[in-house]
Amino acid sequence: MPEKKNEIRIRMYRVGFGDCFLLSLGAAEKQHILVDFGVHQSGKIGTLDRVMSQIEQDTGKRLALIVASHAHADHVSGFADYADRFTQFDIGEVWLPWTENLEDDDAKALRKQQLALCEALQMHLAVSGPKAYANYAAAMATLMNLSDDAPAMVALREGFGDRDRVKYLTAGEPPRRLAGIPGLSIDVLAPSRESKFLGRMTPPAEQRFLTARGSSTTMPDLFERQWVSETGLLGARQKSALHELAAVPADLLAFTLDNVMNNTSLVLLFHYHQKTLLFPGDAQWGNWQSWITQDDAKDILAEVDFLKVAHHGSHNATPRDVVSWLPKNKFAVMVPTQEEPFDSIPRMPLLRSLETQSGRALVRSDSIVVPKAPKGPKLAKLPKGFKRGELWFDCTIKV
Amino acid sequence: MATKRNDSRLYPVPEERVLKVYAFDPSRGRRFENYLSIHVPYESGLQPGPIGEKVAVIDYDATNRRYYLPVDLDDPAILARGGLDPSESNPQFHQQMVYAVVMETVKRFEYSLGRQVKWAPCPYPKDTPARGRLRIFPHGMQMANAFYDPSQRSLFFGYFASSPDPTISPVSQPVFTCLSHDIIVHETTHAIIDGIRRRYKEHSSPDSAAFHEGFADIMALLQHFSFKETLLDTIQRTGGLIHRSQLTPYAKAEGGTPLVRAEATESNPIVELAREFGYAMGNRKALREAIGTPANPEDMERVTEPHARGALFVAAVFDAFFSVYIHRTRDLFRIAYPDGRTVVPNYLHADLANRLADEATKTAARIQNICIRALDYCPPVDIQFGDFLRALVTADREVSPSDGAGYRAALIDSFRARGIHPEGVSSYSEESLSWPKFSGKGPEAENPSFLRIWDDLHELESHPDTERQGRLFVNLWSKSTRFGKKIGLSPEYRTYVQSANMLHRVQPDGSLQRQVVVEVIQTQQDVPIFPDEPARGTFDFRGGATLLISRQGEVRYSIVKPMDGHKGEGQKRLERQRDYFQTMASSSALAPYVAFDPKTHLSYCAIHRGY
Repeated sequence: MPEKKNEIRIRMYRVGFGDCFLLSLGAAEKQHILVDFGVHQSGKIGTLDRVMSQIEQDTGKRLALIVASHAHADHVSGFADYADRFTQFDIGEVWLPWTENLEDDDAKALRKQQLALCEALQMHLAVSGPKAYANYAAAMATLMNLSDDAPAMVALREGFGDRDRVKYLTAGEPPRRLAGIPGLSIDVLAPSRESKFLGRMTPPAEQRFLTARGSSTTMPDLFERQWVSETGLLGARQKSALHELAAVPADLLAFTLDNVMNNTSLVLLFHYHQKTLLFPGDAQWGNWQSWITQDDAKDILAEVDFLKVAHHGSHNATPRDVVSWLPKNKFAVMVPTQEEPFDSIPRMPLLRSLETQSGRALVRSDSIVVPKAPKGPKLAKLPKGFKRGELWFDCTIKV
Repeated sequence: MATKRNDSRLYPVPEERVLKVYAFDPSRGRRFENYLSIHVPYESGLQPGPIGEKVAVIDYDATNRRYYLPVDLDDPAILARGGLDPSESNPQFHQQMVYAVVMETVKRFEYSLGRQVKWAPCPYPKDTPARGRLRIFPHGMQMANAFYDPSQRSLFFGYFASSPDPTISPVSQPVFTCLSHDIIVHETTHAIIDGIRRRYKEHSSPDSAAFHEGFADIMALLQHFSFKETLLDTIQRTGGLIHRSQLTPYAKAEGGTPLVRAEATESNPIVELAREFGYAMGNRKALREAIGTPANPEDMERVTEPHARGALFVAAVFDAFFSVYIHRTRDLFRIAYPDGRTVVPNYLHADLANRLADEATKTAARIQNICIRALDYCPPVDIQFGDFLRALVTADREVSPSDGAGYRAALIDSFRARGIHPEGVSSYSEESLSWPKFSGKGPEAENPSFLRIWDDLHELESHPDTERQGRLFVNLWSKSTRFGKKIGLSPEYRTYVQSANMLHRVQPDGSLQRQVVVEVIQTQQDVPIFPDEPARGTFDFRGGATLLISRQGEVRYSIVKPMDGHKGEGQKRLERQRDYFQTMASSSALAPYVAFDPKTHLSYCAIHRGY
């Protein structure tokens, strides 16, 4: 029997609109790392059960590391649905961004603001109804994605039975290593704790005073009755222009909230022997800015052998500079995406430019055909180094 | 026999109306220096609202969908007491306060500009009530915000419930942005600048977005130095060093821990903005401060967020202001303390405190003048802080060539210390900073109407109508392509006259100088933000010139933002704007779900909401 070569295999499962990646490292005896496992409430395709069983089979229920990049359901929901089964696993460590550490005052404050705004927006949208907002459905979907994460985050923070496994990571800390995987070191690029980037993770302050009609936060009796008058100067048309101006742009605020949550994403750079893998979670502009503005960012990106595309290939989740700094024709790309539930995701021009830069070494998770699920583009020919399974794509990198 | 009560032969029409307002906002409490009587121009036909010639207060609450009864400031019961007393629970006092402070701000600008303030034209329909005026909604909506909306030509002041914070107030209380003197001045300044430079609301760079905000803050802060009582209190409690952020307590605390309010240190109200608003938002400090951090020449490179960048501009102006003040009052301190004793706060001689207050007020008024007058010397589009410095130096040299008190020198120094560097200027000397004088005028055969502009303008001012305005513009520009090129315009784009205003200046020798300021604009429409992806949004690229034209029809200055220009200046500008919009498009929090539109996503309201 020929000796097995040392390699990294990245397996992207087809979960619907969501992320689930398994890294398997080593030669004969492989070590496994699970990065995210979740699906969006509005982007389900009914494959999660099978993916869970497949993960058990692929890992032999041994995981050196579980990473949850950020607290959105489409990255973590599986950890709640199958929490019991994960407790049966032999797990090394569980990594979360520092923003999820409930013993951290800054993190607690952020979380409180996010949830309060999320709740207020959900209530406001529910009362206002779908006709009131142009982006009603998309806004509701992003809010649900935030509020649905609670049970999964509880399970993750408990470390599936052992709290000591849980580590909260901050940008700039010394590279991490894992017991039992020699040759592996992991840089934490984000989220930063620097005050100028905290703003990118904080919901707009004014909106903490957001109101929904009939909720306790409205102020109907601003002044005593004697000052109130039903008649005045304005005509119906002018009044309605003012009503429009006074209306809370709840849909746009929901997107803003989605953005601040995405910016808490853990961005990890895996170095395994000479190979480099970049997993940016759902980082958006503010998160990327926190590290690509540093001097060595260009060098880091020039060394990347594999990129997981952030935020399902959406508009501002992969800066143009980043695409151009990646090594031309020398890296592979995986895009966990699907055309439902958001019309604007994935963003085709972005995927095309990544395809060009990578020398066509790009696959989308929705190219795996699942009955009744939204279909992605057909893949006529797999790029070099890629393989297709029933519910996954593999990308293998020799080291 | 009944006599007419208001016989004008017996009682001349008063010049001013006295109205009470808060000097700051209700959070400073009922202390005497927080209650202020201000004098606004008397309007004889003032309607309930109040609705006057220039502004109309309309108290409609769009969240609760109801009106609050309009105040009649001509009611004898109100007239006799010099306006309603400050009260948070009486909406009519709120109406009075916004009216008074807006009018005070307008008066301040008119004094410096030497002409009436004109509002930007507004497209709203003919049947709109109070058309032609700036409309003010003191309780516009429930929202922790106040803003100027050019499309409605209105100021909207929101109200909201403060976030309960046990260290400040255990219960949530209503906060009215229309009771913050600072916020009113700030928003009014937005509206006034919009009338002077209509294109400044179009953001084309980090500076242009920050300019409106910074300038509005400067006006609000400088206004504090006209509040005599507060100023005296601050002078006593800082020992004359009015820029300090903390006030010495009235009485020293026993054992170091203050037990009564008078023993507590307080923040200096004069150098902070919108205190109540800031606290109500849970920030535990005022919204913004005049002097934040030490000057660093690299600041301009690092800071891009509009309010933060505006704050650097504010800090530069206030650095200059306090420097001049300290310079001007050194002699007073030497007279009062000839043996070099340290000045002890709270123990200044009343005469000294009064003299210091006078100096501070005068210095502030002068700085305010310099800043407001500079507006007429600013380019019509795409303002950079460096342009403003050049405008300021040029404008001030015209009225005060020698700079005896060192205002300009101080301003140049403080701008330089913060890294504000005008493009294409080789040194910070006054000569290099001044806009180059334009030599010669266009051949009369080509633009005979330059001479007539003065008469046309007079006619337009007395009978404003669009037809006349159109004719003025045609007269001015239709035949002067070659001259246009000479003053820096591009022959490729249509030239549009945006505004024409008269400028009256008293020269150093006492003579009155009269000029016309004309803004001309050129536009390249629908430039794609991403050249390879036009569908991702477009912007209008604008250039043009501000012309200062003498009584003889001679162009004295042409302050240009070229569309093309030699050395590819226009192209450079276009690339810079494109960069800016690309960053905005990419950083927009809405980007994944909604297509970027610079016109709506970069508005005042959107910036406040933090998209």
